[in-house]
Amino acid sequence: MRKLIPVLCLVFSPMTSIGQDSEFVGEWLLWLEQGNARRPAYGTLSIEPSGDSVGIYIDGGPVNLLSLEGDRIRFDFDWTDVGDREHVSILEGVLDDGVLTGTVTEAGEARGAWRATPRAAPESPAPAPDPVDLTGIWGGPAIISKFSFDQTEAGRAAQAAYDLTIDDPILRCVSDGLIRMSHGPFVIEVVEDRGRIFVLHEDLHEVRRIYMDGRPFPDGIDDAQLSMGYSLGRWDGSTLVIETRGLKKAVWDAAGMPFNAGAVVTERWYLDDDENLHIEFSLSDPVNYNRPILMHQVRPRLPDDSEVGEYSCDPHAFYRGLQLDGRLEEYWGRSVNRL
Amino acid sequence: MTSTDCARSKNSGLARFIAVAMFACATPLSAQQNDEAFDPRDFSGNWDRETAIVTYSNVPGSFRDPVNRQMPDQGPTAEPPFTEEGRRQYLDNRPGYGANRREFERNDPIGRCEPAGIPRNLTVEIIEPHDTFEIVQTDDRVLQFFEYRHDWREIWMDGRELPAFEDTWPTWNGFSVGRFEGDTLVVETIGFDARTWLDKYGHPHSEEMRLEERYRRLDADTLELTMTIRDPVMYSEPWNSDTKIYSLNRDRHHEWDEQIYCVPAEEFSLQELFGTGNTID
Repeated sequence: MRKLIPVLCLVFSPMTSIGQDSEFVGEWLLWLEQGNARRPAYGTLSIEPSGDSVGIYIDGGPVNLLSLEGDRIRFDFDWTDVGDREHVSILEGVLDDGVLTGTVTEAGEARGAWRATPRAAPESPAPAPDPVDLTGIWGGPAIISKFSFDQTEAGRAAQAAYDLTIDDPILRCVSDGLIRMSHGPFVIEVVEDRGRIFVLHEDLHEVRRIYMDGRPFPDGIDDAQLSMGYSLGRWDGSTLVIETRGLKKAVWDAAGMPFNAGAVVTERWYLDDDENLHIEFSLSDPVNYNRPILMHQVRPRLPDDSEVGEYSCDPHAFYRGLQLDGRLEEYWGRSVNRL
Repeated sequence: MTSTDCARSKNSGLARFIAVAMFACATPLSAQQNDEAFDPRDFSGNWDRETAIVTYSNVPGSFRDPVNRQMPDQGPTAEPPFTEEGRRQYLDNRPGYGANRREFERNDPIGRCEPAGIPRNLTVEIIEPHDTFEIVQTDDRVLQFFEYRHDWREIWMDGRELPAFEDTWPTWNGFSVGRFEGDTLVVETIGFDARTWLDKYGHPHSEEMRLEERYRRLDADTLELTMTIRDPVMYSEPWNSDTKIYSLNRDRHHEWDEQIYCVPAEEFSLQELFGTGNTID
């Protein structure tokens, strides 16, 4: 219930009738400080015309527009911290020379600053391939962890059925899948070899292969039920564009946000002038969401002598806990959630 | 394999390969000598296990039956050189295979979906088509990718020394450095987590285990691996493996087949473990 109340509020009130201001409309790379010892996080801020006002979304989830007057905007949004505690932050800012900047407050207390810069739309037609070297080790990203999304009825039901104390695959040291793994605070290494890009994940010591040889998706890929999916990549100019299908039904965050087997993930990987790796991430899953999930992460390049550690995970504590709590029968009965 | 192939292999001068080839001549094999040119220091590719899952005894491995692809699983035929502690831990383990096989209350870590670790990942026990691993070589490393748990391992080839044992901590795959002796890739590893078993027969190891692997490419399609385990806590002298043979699978670039996770067996294993009054401690 704790999750449903804000979801309902936000889904039905992301817009306020205060007049549209086209200078705000667009997709923005959002950077903000959230306090609570979190590193500044990145995300996607989408501002869209809607009737005589605008709709605002962070990472594809609706937020509350509080005011929009002249060059000033004020909105709040909900997010969760690593302890799954819910927060509501208010962002207040001014648009100046094409950049949004302002302050973050939570419950009346200052939390830091925020900034939004326009995100370039993909060129059309796509530019000729001009690959850049993405090999190396990249630090863990900080993401915003938006809490509520515009879910379908099926999506809300799937999330309500998820019990994070017993269904979470990480508890069993089993792969938590491509989407969640890609947004956790762990480093990755990129290795290239003969028409493939390997992404070595510290998290669960997983590996992902991205095929760059122009192959098509195999027939029946949507039924493949793969934790890491089947990824095909290409270079649009110096941007690595990856499409992933064949993911198995799972959740993509700690709160149990669901996605379905037919979901499609699209990523755009590129370097900025400071050699940071940007990954624009889109999850399209109309079964569970009325609009795509759009995240943006930034990973710093780590020194050449960095190494990816071996994630050591032991499920004994989880199983022992289930036994002590008398929940083993319940656990076995929920095996349908562990496909 | 033709008689010409057998004659050529016997003239190769490679004693171990002769033994393999003689066995091959006696039994139809999928592993055949290939005259194709190859770089003997390039181990990249997908390698399918051809020898049976025997353990680290000196018993030669059996090859898979090329007709029905069944793997003869003879199990260990010679007892390893246990220390008293090694024998005690071996008998405390409750494997599903071998001389210490148990019908019930098995506690193979893989039955609980735990990492296989090194060296068990190298024997690729899981069934076809997953009895394979991939090798990728970079400028400074040899990377190995396993299908069970979709795990990977890195072997440092940049000339670094093994860390001192005191500077390591227990890991599933250990800390590995490699070097070439001629065209043989020699890998040394320390820093193991003692919770893994060496094999499905329940042979134990301690955190003090040192593993040596020797990889040699016999021809374009054939990889040979032998291993030596040095673990004074469990074994009174070095324990040498049988010879493992892997064949190059040139067609295997199917991520579809490469993601093996452990879930359904967990149900059975846990019920077996808990249903009999055992506890995890």
